[in-house]
Amino acid sequence: MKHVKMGLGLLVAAMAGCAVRLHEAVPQGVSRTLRGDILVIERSIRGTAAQDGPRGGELRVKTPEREVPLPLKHTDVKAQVTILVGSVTVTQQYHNPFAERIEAVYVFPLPENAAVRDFVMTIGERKIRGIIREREEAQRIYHEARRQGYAASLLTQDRPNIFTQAVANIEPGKQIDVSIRYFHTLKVAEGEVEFWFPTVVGPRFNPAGYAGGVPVSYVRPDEISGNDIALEVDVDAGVPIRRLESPSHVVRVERPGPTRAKVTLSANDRIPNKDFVLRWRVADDAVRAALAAFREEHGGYFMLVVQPPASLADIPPQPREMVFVLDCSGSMEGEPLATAKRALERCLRRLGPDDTFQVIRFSDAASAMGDRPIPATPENVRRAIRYVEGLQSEGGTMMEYGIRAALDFPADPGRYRIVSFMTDGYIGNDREILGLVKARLGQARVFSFGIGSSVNRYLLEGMARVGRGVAAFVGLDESSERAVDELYERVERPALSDIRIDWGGMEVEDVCPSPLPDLFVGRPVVMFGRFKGRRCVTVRVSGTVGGARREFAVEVDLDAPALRHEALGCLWARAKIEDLCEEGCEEEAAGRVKRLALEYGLVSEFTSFVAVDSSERTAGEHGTRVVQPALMPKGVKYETTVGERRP
Amino acid sequence: MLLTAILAGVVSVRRPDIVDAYRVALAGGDPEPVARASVQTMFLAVFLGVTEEKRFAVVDVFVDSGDAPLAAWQVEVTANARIVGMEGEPVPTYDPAALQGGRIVLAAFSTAEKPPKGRVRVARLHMMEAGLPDYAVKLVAAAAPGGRRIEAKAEIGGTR
Repeated sequence: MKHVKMGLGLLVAAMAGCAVRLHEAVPQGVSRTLRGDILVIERSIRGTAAQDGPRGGELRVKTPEREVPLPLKHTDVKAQVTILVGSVTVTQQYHNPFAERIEAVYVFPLPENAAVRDFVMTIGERKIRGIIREREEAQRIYHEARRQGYAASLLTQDRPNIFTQAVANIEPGKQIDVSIRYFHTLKVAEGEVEFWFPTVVGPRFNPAGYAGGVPVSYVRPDEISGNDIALEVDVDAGVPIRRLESPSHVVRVERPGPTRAKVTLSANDRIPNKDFVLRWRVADDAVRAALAAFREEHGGYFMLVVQPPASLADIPPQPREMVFVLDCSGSMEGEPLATAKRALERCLRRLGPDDTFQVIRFSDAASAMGDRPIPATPENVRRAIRYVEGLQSEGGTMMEYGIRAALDFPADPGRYRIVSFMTDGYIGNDREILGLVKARLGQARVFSFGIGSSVNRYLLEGMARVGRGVAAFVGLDESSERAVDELYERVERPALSDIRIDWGGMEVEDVCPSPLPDLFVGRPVVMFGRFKGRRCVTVRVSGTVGGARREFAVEVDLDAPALRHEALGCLWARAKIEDLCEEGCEEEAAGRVKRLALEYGLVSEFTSFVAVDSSERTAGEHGTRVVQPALMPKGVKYETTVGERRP
Repeated sequence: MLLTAILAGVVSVRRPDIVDAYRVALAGGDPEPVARASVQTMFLAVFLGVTEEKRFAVVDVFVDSGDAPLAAWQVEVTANARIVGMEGEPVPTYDPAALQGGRIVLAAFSTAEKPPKGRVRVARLHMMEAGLPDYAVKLVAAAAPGGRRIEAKAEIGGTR
């Protein structure tokens, strides 16, 4: 069929109507035979068929309490870590267990700072590299290829940490693999480096009237999804590794040398329902001023890790006002809330005699233990612990109410105000919430605690970033002591704010993040920038603490960096995109994001990867969409999130 | 309005167009009947604002290194069509900064002990075309094992 672009609107509307009616004519229930089993396949229609995105009509398989055949068979993750830079290849294997052609659609997570750079579709022995295009153009190409019966795949970004993969025209019994490669920087705190890989998108709550949510379907409690995950991390820490562990998974560790480790996921722990976390400790000063640089024809890129000297801790702390905000929504029911309560109780017990505090809970609404901060007397702390013990989870995650309650709470101007959010971050309106924190922050600092097995790290890291604090994460399989103690390490030592850098004659531009965040002892900040020339310089970092200006030096040798890494240009571009989006992604910023993403070949809100196999057209009508449901994150209850009780 | 719709339906049926004629000619056949058939509906298409159908096709890129083994190559391809994928062994990479419309700079290298000589298909480009396709290729660089630069020429093979 030729595509007809009529100048006559009525005719176009009439033709579009025909397309919709055609799809509506499909029976609502059909039977299929698969390997001798009778399955009931439910066919539903959402949206129009002609221009549908990944959320069109879908096939969904219902079976009584047994494994359901679904397109995503397996995910293979291979990561190489070089000092603080991770290079990760994720291969998703889609197969077609049905008797007709299908389009597979899967919503999946990646780290929130992932610079997704490479995309390859494999059909049999043939590998087809995808091309980066503007999002709308990539979608048009994909839809056209799908319509004409060509195998094609499309990768789009829904959030910085949520992506949708669509694979069109998978023939019965055939398999198409899609490999994605991304780079990211690892998290460092107190001499400990953390690599993480999310395996599932937690169920997001969208407030009434919010239309920008990412719909994800979930495997029901009476279903089992057969897909699994294999994961290998090859670590080259650059310095001796003192201790290495995974608090989330059972792993096998090989140590080819003192600075190297090869970590493989145990065959018994391959269910993709929780974040994979790997931590290793290195000497405290090993990451104090790590420098990576990479030079290209038109200049170079650098990554500099800076942290203030421990002597900053000698400055006496101000009296504190601690506001603890606990998410009591339905997704926190059970283990997550119990973990949050334990963490909060430990926080309360660590309050000093000069501190004041308050506890706020929120779900559909927010309420507080009292109407103002109270002194941290033993009696008040006991009362708060009893209050926290009595809290129950129910309802939606109206985080806006929690933020307003906490940041609008009466503040004592003579105190250093810390607002600590304890939540899984399962909301859909991330950007609105970050904007709200920024707008209402005042003199407070936000320290976010991610609680759960598969936390929305984009939100929690974002809240800490705009809230001039830091984020910490507590999995369900680990003690909350580490994260709580780290919080107190941060709040007991002053932060260096209003950071300025004298680059010592080095030609530097486009430093990200901008503005530079406050510096905490033990919490290095990773910054990226572009440079010209070659030199060894002393960089001077200064900031304000306790009303006075303090300065420390960082030796930078661009000719002999600790690491030369090809990914630095991509990582810089990714950091720049994040800065631009934080400005609001208005038209001008959106244009700059798009140009940067296209120039560096990165997936973004405005750019996508598309790959088409033009060599062969599959036979018959284009297939039915099969949406791959995700597993519920470990510890999260289906009934209180996506089930009937979810508002 | 009804007549317009009917006419649109008529011309929307896939008919041979000039590209089909061109391809017949490339394959050594007689393009005239196909070309004649293609222009018969042209006036209707113009009148009704019918756009060219998007077609998917593959285009092979060859590098001829003569007697020298080809271990690394880089070419620039320009086309009045959209590149929607690329394959090869090894899979070529491309420079996103140089990707503009139908222009792409792609490259690959092989560490195989005995890289091929002569005319080698180095890449297959997957294209989305509309209208008469026009392709051009320019060799940017080629090298033998060890990195020695070699003389070579690049060309576009047949499309289908």
